[in-house]
Amino acid sequence: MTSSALSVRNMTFIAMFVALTAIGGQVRLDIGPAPITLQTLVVMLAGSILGARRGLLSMVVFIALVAVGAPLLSGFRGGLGALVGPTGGYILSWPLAAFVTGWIVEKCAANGRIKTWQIVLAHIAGGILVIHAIGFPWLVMVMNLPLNPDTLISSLLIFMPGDFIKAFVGAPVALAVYKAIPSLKPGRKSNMA
Amino acid sequence: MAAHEFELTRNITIGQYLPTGSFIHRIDPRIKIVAFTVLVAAIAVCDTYAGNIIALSFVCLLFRLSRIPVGYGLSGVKPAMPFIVILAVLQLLFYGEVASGGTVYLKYGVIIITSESIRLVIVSALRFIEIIFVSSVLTLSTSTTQLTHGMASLLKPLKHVKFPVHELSLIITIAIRFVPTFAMEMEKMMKAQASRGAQFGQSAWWKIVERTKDMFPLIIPLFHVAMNRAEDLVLAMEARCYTPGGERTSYRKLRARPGDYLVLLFCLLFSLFLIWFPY
Repeated sequence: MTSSALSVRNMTFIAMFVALTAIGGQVRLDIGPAPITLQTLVVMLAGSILGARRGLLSMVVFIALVAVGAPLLSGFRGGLGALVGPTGGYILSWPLAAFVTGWIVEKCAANGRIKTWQIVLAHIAGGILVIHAIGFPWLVMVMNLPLNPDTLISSLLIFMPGDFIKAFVGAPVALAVYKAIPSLKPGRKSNMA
Repeated sequence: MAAHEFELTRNITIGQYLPTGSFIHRIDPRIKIVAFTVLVAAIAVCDTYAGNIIALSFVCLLFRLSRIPVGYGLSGVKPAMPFIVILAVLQLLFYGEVASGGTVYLKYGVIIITSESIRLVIVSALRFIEIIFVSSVLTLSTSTTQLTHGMASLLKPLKHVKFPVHELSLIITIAIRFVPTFAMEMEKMMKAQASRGAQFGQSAWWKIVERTKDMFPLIIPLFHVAMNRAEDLVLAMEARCYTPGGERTSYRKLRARPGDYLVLLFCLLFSLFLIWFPY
């Protein structure tokens, strides 16, 4: 049936990324000076593997699930309270982050080929710049934090080593997935169905 | 890494359904979702001591009525405890200026503790617990299938503006179905790697290359499993000629009885009472 907005394949992959995002939040790794979860790695990969549109959709569904109270965030938080709370900006930025990542990957792969550094760049732009550009001002405003070097270090710079590791780790994972499932490779017409 | 950090499946409560057959279990899922939303909104607005104590006793009563042991609700609160405590401490230290009303108990530099800020801290901790309790009752008394059916049915009017309601509810059903599966796979992989002597994030944090390498044995298998499962599911659905936009009927029709509407009415009145409760 052509009237449907999404194919079975698209729906399934979007759903898988929703579930992976949920699992990512429960795996805590003490990488970098601050403990991190794999959640933002999955956000980056949602963009680079699913592409802009489906990546955005998967994150919107994830946030909708959290909003209705599913305890899917790290530390088993959920509900509207977690979304409008101090760290809500970081979570609400994910659809845009996945979209930006996917958009850059799609642009770079317009000729059907993509290089590792281009994926890393997309991950950094979407998964680090976008998330912190929305999340950090939100945190500062909600918590009324003073804008001094201490705040910058404790709520922004401390996450950078972990975030950059994730941006680098994500690239080979994305490439491996493209190889395993060619239909997910960006720059292919069938991908946009 | 402590041993309990490998126990992912034990901690994930989503999709846990406890069929006790109480009358709360039998309420139409649509009514339950609406009533739940109204209650959560009322709890989020209610900011008095008395109002929150009434709300807390009401949600405890819900556990009793649904014949679900309160322990299930408490196990939902336990993992969120560090978050509640950190939030409380931060509010206590920094909200003194915002909530400046009431008596000042302590003033030390930027730290101001007033009776108002103490009220804020206690009330927001209570609210947090109440909301976890209410959502536990909802998910423990309603199966995932019922919840998604109810949700899809409530969102049906959006179909007229070309919103893919059916597709969305299928995505949610698949996602929720796979959360425990992936948790189990992840747990297995972490244990497998640990038993081979892997130490996640044990090297110093500036050794970025080593730390990056540490992550691959977890991420690659997880995505491998996820993508394989997705492919299998797609094949299985396509082999059965599943069409996403197709009109379909369901085996069990949702039907709200008069009693269900009474429950909704009661929740509405109770929420209004909480919002306008003067004390």
